[in-house]
Amino acid sequence: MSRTGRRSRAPAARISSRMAVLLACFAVGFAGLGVRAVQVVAFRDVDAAATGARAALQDQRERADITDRNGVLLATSVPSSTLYADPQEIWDPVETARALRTVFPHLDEAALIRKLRSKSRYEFIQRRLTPEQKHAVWMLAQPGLRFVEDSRRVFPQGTLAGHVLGLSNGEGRPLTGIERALDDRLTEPRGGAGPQTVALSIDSRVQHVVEAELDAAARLHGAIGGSAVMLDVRTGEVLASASWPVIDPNQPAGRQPTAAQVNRSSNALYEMGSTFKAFIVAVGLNDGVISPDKLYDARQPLTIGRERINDFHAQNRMLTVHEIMSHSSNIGTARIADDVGAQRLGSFLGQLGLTEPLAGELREISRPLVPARWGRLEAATASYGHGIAVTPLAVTAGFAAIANGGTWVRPTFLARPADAAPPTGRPVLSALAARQTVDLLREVVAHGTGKGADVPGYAVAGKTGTAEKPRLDGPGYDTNRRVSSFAAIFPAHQPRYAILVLLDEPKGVAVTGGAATAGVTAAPAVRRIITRAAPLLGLMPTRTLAAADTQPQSPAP
Amino acid sequence: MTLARSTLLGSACLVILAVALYLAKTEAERVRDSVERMERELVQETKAVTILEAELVWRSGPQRMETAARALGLGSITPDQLVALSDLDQVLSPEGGPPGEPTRAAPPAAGGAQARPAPASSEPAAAPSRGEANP
Repeated sequence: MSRTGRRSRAPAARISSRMAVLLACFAVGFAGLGVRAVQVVAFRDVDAAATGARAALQDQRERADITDRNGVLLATSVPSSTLYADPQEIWDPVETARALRTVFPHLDEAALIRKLRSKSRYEFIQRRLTPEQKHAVWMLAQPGLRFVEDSRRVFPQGTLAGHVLGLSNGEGRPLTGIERALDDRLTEPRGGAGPQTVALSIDSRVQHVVEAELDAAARLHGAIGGSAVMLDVRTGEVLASASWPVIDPNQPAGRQPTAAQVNRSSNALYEMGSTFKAFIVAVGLNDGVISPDKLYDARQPLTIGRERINDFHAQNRMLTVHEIMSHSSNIGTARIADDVGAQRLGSFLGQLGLTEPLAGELREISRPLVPARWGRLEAATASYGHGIAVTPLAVTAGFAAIANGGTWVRPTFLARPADAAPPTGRPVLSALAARQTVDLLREVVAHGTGKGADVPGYAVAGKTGTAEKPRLDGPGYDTNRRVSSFAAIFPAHQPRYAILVLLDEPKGVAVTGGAATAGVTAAPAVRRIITRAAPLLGLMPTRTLAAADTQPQSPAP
Repeated sequence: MTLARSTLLGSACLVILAVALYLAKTEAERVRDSVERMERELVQETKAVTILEAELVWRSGPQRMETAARALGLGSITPDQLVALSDLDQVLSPEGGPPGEPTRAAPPAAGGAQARPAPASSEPAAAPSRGEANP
């Protein structure tokens, strides 16, 4: 018995110890679960970014904002809705169609009724609803109307800088401008967040002034088009770039007038006329082949081959380089081109970026039309801006190179950081030649054809250009169709900005005595722009109070 | 006896842990719902802010401001309205006072300086010269 009892107790003790071990394991396991449960409840750090609603917000912000250089919003994406109908749930298609037309009067009622009577489950009604329109549709209380949430690109400044920002198609896909050129950057996520805002070099205040004055000048003179560009001569930043007629980027490309769709500042080519004289004089001074007082024979028209070069305001006398610029003598500049040499002139224009497309941010950049070979006649005609067609943006960049002491800087539409070093650029002129050229351009405004651009206190330096356009019905030029332009630098004593205003086919009006040349069309527009924009840019007029006797100061009371 | 006590203790722990786990899970779900509700509100508010920002820019755009300013009889700043801070004393002094207005800084006892008549503008007229044209 006793052996049997020992035998039965021994297995029981073994079982008990095994159970204890098992229970201990369970206890440890549950204790771990308990600690974790408390940790989850009390100490869990909620990753908000990973939750559904926040992630949905980030997904919707798939396109970055665009601002001007001062942070003013130019383009942004706002929530939007697309309205569609499920015809299977529509009770009365006629009633629903009429109700919808109270919100969307432009929709065709008959077409709406056809859609609402169809057998499908999805009929598109209207894209890009505003919150007010969506609310109004809700208030119609019509069954079968549904919304799809999406995002809509808006340009709150309307037409301002429309050509720079760009056009889109009916689905909102960018077609032109910065919106297209920087499409990847505008949509590329940065650092786990949405895409970062892009700051343009444009100053929206200056842009408005430039657009307003270009519009006024173009309307006054009945032009078919116009362009205006303003650059910071040290950094190459485009402060304003306007093309007239304007476009509204809020509307798809199909709703814009065809004539307005081209960006005339970067994507249209013009024979600029006498504004090119600044370049031939600059290279002549740089190479030492001319001096400001050197005399040239302008007594007779210059004949090269079968071509005869005349002056519009013929002086019929010997002219200094000063006078050649002030009187805008074609004969004089053609003779300077002879001294400079055709090859040298061609290479210099190439250094100024006038013979190749400007590789910048925009894709709408035209390739200049340049002579196939640089002979004596080509150089002579190019010296007064004929036989070579370039964009207004490229010419403005050329003037900026003269203004900043002789360094060509590639224009950019992106704002440079305030603490960034100025771009290196490409030296094209000596500082002395650049200074002398600016002085000659100042004389053009002070005493020559550019008087209409003078702004007391800002010492405007510039050059007029009135070029006849090529005939549409054959070779030669049309004396009735002209391009008038004025390129300027200000302030002349310490140049900061370069500006160009161009009017395509301006007409003479009574206030100009019937004339439509640059001196009475583009130059006054430049004067008005500088008058309004210079104070915005923080430029103080250089007049002193001692000069107040002749130049009144009237500080605000 | 030991086994029974151990079983009882283990069962009690099991029940306590089960209750704790239930409470923890319930609380976690409540917190998660709360967070998601707040985030939905945040998304809605962010959308509203985006729209309001765009509307603010539109309403304060230069075209609208210019129209409003004209209605108030205001105009653009012109260069002759600008003066350097260092020249301010001269502007306010009797000699340099604003044309057509009495000098504010000078008391009547000091002579009641009157500003000089406004000089004629020296800005050259935009003469309708014919400029030049090229053949």
